[in-house]
Amino acid sequence: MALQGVDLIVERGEFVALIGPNGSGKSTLARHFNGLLLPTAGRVWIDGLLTSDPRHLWQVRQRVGMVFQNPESQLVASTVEEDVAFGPENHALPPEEIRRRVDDALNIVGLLDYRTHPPQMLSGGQKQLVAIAGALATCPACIVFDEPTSMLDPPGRRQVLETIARLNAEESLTVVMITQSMDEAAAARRVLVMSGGRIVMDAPPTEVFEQGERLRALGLDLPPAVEIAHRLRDQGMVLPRGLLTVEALARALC
Amino acid sequence: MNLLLPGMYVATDSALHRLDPRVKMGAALLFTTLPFAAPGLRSTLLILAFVVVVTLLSAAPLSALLRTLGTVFWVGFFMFFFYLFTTPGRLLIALGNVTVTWEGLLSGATQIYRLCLLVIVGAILTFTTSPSQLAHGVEALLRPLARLGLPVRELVMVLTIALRFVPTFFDEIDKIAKAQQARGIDVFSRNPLRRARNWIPMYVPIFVSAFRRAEELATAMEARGFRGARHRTRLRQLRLTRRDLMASLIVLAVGLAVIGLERLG
Amino acid sequence: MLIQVEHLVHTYAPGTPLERMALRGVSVEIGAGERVGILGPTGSGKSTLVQHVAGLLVPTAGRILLDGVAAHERTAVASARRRRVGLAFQYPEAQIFEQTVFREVAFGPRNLGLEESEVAIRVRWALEVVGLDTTVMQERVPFTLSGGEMRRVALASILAMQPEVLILDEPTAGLDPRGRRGLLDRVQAWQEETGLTLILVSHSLEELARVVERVVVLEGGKVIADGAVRRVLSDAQLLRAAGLDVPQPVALLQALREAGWSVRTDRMLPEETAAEIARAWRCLEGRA
Repeated sequence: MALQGVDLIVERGEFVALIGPNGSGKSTLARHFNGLLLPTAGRVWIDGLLTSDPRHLWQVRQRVGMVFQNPESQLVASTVEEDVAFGPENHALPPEEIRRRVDDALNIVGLLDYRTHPPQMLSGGQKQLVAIAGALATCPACIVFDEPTSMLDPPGRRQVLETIARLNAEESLTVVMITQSMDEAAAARRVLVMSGGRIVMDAPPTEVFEQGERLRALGLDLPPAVEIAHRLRDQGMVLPRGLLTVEALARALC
Repeated sequence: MNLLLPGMYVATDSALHRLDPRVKMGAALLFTTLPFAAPGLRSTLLILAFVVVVTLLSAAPLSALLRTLGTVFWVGFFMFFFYLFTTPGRLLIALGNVTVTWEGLLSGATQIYRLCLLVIVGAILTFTTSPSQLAHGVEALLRPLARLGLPVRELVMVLTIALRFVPTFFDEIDKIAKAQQARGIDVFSRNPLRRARNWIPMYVPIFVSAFRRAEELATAMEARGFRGARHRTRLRQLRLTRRDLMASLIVLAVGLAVIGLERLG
Repeated sequence: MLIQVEHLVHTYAPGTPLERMALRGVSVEIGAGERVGILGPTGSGKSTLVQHVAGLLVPTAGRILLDGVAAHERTAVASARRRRVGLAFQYPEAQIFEQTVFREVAFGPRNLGLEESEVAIRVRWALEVVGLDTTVMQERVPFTLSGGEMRRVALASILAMQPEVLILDEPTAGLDPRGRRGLLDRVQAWQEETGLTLILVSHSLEELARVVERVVVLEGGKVIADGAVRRVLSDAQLLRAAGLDVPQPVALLQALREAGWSVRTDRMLPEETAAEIARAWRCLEGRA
């Protein structure tokens, strides 16, 4: 049983990180958000639409996009613009509308100049941006990211994370991001920790990462800044709570 | 990505690149079958002249064309000698039991010519037409068959996706080959028999990888609203322009001229 | 085993439009028992370099010697040297093909031509090193295992060949934090127990700081730094110029130093960083 009774509400515009050891049910849960998986028991509503209702499934998938871990395995077409057009084409939109959406989406992720390039020639980070543009082209309210940076090098990671943050801040896109990186989770506004098919913690990152012992017991880590801050407090230094980044820690010390 | 397949599409801007794929495919079909209907010398020269002009208009580099010809070198080689030695007719040379006739020489040369024409015309087609345009063209040309119940759109989609994954799989195979090589088997052995046997530890990982990718891709397609190839619209539509009509007329005219020359003697 | 890389040049697809010079004259020497990290941005030539060490590629120019023998030669001597080098690629579970864990791990030793009894001993040993229960795992089908377990099986299959030089290319990619820690601990334990050479290619500066003693930094096919891990990874200017991240603890210590604290910037493991900051703070408090 991959999920053992999950109750969750995510509001429009939230930036949620979903963390947990392998096998805790993160990917399984995420795939319920767009109806790729349907509940054995219980229900999932997206904007009031039931995912298990076949009449609503395609609307659900229009509203909740998904970007996966492997950049290569998401690319369908042999040019960037055709790949981004895949979603709108599936929704049988008229060609002029598809054109507009493709150009808008590519513009938002900054790849408009690469329209006619073969996606296989792009870097890993750029490929993920193409996947993100493809998800944006259906004008979703939310995008679920399943470890989008796992297979990328540091520059690619930064490109993708900056884009995701910008989409949340500027376009009010609801973001649910599964990640194995505690640094990435620390950048979210809400962190869900899963273990054994349940959500065991649901709080802002400042609160979640205060519980170092508990996270370690669950098989997780702390962001380096948090770990250093903990150790400094153990040695008697007085530091404010909720320091997540090196910058914040440096400011607190000086 | 490290592999440049001969005849692969290169996105330059030539007169041919701008033509509708259906026109190009129709012309290619015409000019590869015409030699069979028009084997005479003058018609052959006209065909060759036309192909040369088209080649120049396609901006295809000579080296690339030569490399595509190179892929059929051995086929051509054996075909030539087969026809050379087995066609009956007027004797040219006799070496013991083996006879070479004038007709044999002509036959062999004709086969080589047809083969090269086929390869060159095909190469120019794939060089000037992107994979998606080709798919579009094939789909458009096969559309009448869809009315007979053939799943044309699905087949074309399968074809395009398969083509798009070819470079990906080349890379994957290379990686797996190196990994197994590092574990002690000589994957790159020069002995073809040994190489065939040494590839056994490659087949399973390659298949597993292919299936995994297929599943990941199918999931991604589903997540993006895919529910079958029917009822989908397309970003780009094929539209015939005046240039396409002109090109078609020219092609037809040359074709008729070839037939005409053939009839005249 | 002594590894000598001398002015190594490697060009992929020479003479074609896709020609690319991946290594532009790399010279490095790695002695027996060293723990060396290889760091560099994507495209810097890391994978190409380690493939040369394993004898999988032929140099375009320059040479790479394993105990004095060119690594790529098709002679019995060179072949014997190559067998003493083990290389695990990224996502090594992709190479798994056998129907049982035992057969998969035994594949390498069998290719070495060892007796079955010796093969069995090595398989058991290798599975223990990576932390898998031999009795439970031996007959399992590798494809039914979890991703982390498959990763360990793949590594065990390399370890079972008992290489004198173990090269790992991003061994913890895609693992969860516990999986990462577990694997690195075991690799470290293996290296300490056997005293053999370890070459670790990684993007993770924390991993390098913890596991290796020396780091070679590649950029654009050239070596731009080669020295003690603490010295190289605390050279923020060099790292940034190469397009690499600076380890977070180092960034923190540098920020403090710029604010006037007297801290060493090469204390890059979190426990060391904390100790260093605490020490400097006590100094400041003492003086105040």
